Amino acid sequence: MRERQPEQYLSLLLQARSGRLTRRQVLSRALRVGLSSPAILSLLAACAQQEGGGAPTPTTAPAAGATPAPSGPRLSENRDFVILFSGGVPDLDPQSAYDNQASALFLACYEMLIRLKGESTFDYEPMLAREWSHNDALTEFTFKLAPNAKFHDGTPCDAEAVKASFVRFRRMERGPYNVISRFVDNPEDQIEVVDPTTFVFKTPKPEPLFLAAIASEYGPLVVSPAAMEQHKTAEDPYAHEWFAQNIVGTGPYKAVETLQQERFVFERFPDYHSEAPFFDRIIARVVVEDATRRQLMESGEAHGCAYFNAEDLIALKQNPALQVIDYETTQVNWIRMNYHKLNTKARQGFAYAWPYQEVLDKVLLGYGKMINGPIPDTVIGYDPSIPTYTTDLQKAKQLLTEAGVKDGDSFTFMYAAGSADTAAMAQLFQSNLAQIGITLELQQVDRSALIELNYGDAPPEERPHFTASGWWPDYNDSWNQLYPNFHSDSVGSKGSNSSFYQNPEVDRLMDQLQVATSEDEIRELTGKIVQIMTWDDPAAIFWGQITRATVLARDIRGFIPNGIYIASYNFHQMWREAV
Amino acid sequence: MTAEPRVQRDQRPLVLEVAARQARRRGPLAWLLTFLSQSPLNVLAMGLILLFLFLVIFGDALAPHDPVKPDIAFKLHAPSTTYWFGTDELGRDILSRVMSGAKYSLGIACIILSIALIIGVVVGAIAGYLGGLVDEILMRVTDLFLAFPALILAMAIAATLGRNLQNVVIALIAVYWPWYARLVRGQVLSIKEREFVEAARAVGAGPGRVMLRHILPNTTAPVIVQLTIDVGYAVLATAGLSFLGLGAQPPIPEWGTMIAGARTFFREAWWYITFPGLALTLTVVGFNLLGDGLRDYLDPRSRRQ
Repeated sequence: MRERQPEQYLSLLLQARSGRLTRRQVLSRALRVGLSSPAILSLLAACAQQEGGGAPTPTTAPAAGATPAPSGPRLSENRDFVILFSGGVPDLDPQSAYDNQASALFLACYEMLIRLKGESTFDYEPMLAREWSHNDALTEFTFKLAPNAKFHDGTPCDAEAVKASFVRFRRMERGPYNVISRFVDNPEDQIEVVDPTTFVFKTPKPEPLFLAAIASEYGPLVVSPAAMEQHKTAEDPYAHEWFAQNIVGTGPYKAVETLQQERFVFERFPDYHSEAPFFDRIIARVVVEDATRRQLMESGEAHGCAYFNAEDLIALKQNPALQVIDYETTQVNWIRMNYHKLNTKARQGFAYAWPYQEVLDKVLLGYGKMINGPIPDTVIGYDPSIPTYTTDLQKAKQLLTEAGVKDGDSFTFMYAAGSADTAAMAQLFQSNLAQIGITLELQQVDRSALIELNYGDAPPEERPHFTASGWWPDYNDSWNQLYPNFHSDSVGSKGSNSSFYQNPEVDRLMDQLQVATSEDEIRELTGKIVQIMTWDDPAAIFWGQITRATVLARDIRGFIPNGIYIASYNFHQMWREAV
Repeated sequence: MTAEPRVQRDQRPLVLEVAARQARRRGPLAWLLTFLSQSPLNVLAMGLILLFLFLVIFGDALAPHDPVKPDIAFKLHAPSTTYWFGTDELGRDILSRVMSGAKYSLGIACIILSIALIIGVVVGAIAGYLGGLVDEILMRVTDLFLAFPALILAMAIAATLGRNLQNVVIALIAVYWPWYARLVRGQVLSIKEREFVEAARAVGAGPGRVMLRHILPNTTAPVIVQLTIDVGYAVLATAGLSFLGLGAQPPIPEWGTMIAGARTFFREAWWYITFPGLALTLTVVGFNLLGDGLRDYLDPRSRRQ
């Protein structure tokens, strides 16, 4: 940690100067990396300079058609913003899709009530709601909507419409519905409409995380109830099939083309309730090949992409026509271990055989760091006292022998084709195991096949021994990271627990964690869970906390990355400078 | 990248067999020397094929580095005196992987065609010799396989059976055997009416003996010509399926798999995609040139045309 201080200082300084961090964030991060007091003071000074208006670059988009100030930056005439995805988006229903790329699209056309502000994971700014407040007991959360809010189908978005949308989200029980179900079990009664623009969420107990959850980009987006009524059927009372292919939200852009495996075109929504965004059109293209995405960015045909491997990112940083924006995230990557096929000692042994340092240094080229479990150090509940695994093949061999694994035994590792980084990691793991006499058969499958297997109903006996995976929470909370992945209620199609991890003690602690109210309690319970899941009864090989990067054309301004809204864009604040 | 033949096999001129028989009578070495002296391209083809067949047998043993074990400290090193062809993303020597990969790419193509040939000859010979209803049934089954585009059929079979080399072998055998069945049937149909076959029957030879001693040996020349041309295409098809992720799985150094892995890095590491690509190209060129050379040599009429 100590050797990295200068670069961490530099990174913090740059972020402070560019206005991407608040004073509070700078202070907390600086203390976390152990910077000296003079260094922290200089960082805060940089922050103050920024906050005092010293920055030349605005971070919010100039209004569409606005005349630039004579001394300010000149706005470009090019008002198209083209982004690249690495795969199709099969489900466009924002209350059903649990898909990172889908969420990136939704931030153009749908809206949550509030959204995370800047890089913060606990400060909020308006989205569909203009104002919000809560009582001291944290049991009533009042939202006031923009009076002129309309859906893309022309119907008004009033408090009743928002309530109907949340009822749909909760009752449909698809995808990310645990984001709301944790707080709202009975939406018809718990959401009270006060007047056409005001409504209140009422919770039976204090919910300090409610606002964080409601700002998640997974699920609590508002859809048009009129469209639902129009397209629902007896078999599909929530019109999910229709919403899976059509978009009717309140966002600043409305969809004009949705070719789900090819491209999406959005045009500015003229009746948007807030200030019009800078870009006239957002175009999202599906480009599966890494090399083609890179070529499109380099040629200037595309202006934003969040899907590059580490090798490409390093190369793209040398390109003066592009900017590569690295940011810390809440994402932890892991290798799931089949709980039913591998006993505890075998799982411990395999955890020692993973090539941790080689993967982080040579494959991810620094786009990741060691982590001691499923909870990243950016999420509440992280416990730094839990030790981290390091590669130790002798120890691995000893544990695997004790587990009954014999020389020549064969195991299977499944991962999605298309990621050079994952393929390299898998082969390094395979090589380590070969050194201790164990055969690892690699199975590259299509991303969709892996997702189908992970979230399907196949019994654990029919699943591979290992699968490559990763996760980040819907909002900054350790329970939200753990429950879908490791609770026994979430096995198979009931969640994301595809390795069928079922530890009664972990379940019990997770249930306590769900209702914990203080940060200390959350940290204590999370620490206990992580200790078990990492060391006592390993659930997975937790090999790294990921740093992500978004590549943008050099002239794009206003982009603010967020460790929760990973690989998404704050379209409404972005703009292009004439250069 | 297609497994389809380039000529109508049923109409191969009879002169081919005669020329082949004459050539064989002169002894294999004299025959080979005469063949090589016909064109420098024949020498080039033979040289390339011998080189790659040598690698199929000795590639693993002669590889300067371990072709499978990663040494990531040396990832993506450019060609040098230590690593003549450079290294891949896991620091493995590409020269060693290309050498070792010959047995997967070329070796497997040879196995595929051998088995396809056996099936094709048996089916074609039975259909051609017996004729009638048996011929009808066997040829309709053959037509069924021929009706699908070859690579699509192979992809469908490989994807259904699972992603590994064994299933690629099965898929490509299914693609190739009908062509040999058609070719042999055509030959058998024409040869079985000839006088020497009539004579063999007249002196009391049974159907088995007539087929094995008199008809099948006379079908070898066109089959060998077709086989040499098809080896190149089978290598391409094997590599193509592996490239698509349906064939060899890591860390097998099959050339198609290597090319697929190299796509991501071709901007930074030109050597990674170039050398396996070159090996693949030279193998296919070698076998195609040999096939063309053999056809020209064994069938002077087609050369004049």
